[in-house]
Amino acid sequence: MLTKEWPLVGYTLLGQTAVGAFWALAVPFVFSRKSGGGGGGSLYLNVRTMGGIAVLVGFAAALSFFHLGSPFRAVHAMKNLRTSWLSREILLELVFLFLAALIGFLELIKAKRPAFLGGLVILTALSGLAFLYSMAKIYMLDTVPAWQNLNTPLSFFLSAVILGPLTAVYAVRRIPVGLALGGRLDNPAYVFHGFASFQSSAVVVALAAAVVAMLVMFVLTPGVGLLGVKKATLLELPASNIRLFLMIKLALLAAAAALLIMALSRGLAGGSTVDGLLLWALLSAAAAETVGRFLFYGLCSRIGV
Amino acid sequence: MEEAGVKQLAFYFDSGSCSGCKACQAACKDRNDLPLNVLWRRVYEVAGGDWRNEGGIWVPGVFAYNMSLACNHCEKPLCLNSCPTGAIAKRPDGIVLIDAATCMGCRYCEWNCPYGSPQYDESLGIMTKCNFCFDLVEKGEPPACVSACPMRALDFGEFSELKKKYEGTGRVFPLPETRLTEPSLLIKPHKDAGLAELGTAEVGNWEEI
Repeated sequence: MLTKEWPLVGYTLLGQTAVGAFWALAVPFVFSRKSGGGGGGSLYLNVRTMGGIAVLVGFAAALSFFHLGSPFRAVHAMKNLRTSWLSREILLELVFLFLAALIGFLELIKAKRPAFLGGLVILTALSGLAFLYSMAKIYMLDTVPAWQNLNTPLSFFLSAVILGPLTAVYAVRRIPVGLALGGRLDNPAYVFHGFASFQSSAVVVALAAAVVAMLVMFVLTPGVGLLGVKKATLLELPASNIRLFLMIKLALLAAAAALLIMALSRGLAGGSTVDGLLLWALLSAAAAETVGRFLFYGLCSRIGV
Repeated sequence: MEEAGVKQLAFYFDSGSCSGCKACQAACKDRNDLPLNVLWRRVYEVAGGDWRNEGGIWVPGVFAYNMSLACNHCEKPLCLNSCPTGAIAKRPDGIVLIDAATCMGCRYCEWNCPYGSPQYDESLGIMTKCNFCFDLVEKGEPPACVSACPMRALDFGEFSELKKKYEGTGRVFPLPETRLTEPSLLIKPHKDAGLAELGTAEVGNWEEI
């Protein structure tokens, strides 16, 4: 019972990571426009990063097929937009994917930055938020009290804000997005376009989100949280195992936070040591979120018979 | 029955008369050729109670009763509203059906239904559920489960007519509040059903349903 939801664990986490990564990449663009810095911030919204976002969303979608009994009938999946949040989620996922791909495509064809790019970026960020909201609504069911509470949308949002920025920063460091400009990490273009502030802001946000996630675990986790749903059982496992899973998640998140603090203390300056710290922080956070999501699906105890 | 102006077909169940023989469950499984692990009608064995001290004497205060349940073809079917493919539909006579050619087997309806009605058929890769034996009903015959009950504990018909014919409720332990889905189900509770609400009752045969 617990293991049959692995595809959904992967689907939700990858989808949330993609949205969080887009937000992280879009922030420099929005701020550079506001501060009158021209389109410099759009350095991060290019064909490589948007391609990466599309791959993440596409891989998530591919994983979701593994939880279907008849995957070839997935063509019918958007037929009930009127009442089904599952239909709406799939539509919003495709909208987010299309808009992110469009931003990358505009870069690919070297189109002159269109006037509507700012609106397009904000619209894409909002479609990502709507995608996350619909994903949470799928689980907020009257028939599953352990899911029908604030913990569901909050934990989904925090997953996006922890994993997304870390993925974006690591990808940008390792796969220089400025290749089109002949860019490398030591290329002044990065400094000019605020690479250091982009990195540090994203890492600080991920670190703060990890700390908030640790606090949320103690307060809202069904069955054991101070304010969470009291009556919750972990399917096929003793209730005490909820605490075991929480401890594992807590240890992994704490490890990720410690690694991020170490990377920040080194000023995130270039070098394989910081790359290694960021990679292990990302892997540790991803493992923590995987444990947390596994626990989430394990708490699906429906009311009634 | 559709021509006769039926708006909502429903089941009636007399819990006090049910002996727990499971003939309804077997008849349903046989008629619909259901595979292992799929039961469109299930008989839940509810048991509970404890010893009671009456004037210094300890007497047994235990109880047990059965609940025969299938799909309740609800007025507000959460399975239908949640299904992304639109495979679940409600007929004019109130029967809720799954279109086998459209269902993609995502099992979302399973999470939404508090009665365990939609069940996954591993061999077909889709969800299945009680269809009220609509082909029999259209011929004027009762569903297989109703015909099979030796105790006459089951009945069916237009919901409003059943309410005139019998007294009953839509909620008896272990069922959820009726406001969730407004089930088309009328139950005459077992005389000890009230004791089940006191907290010691549980379903004793989960492993077979």
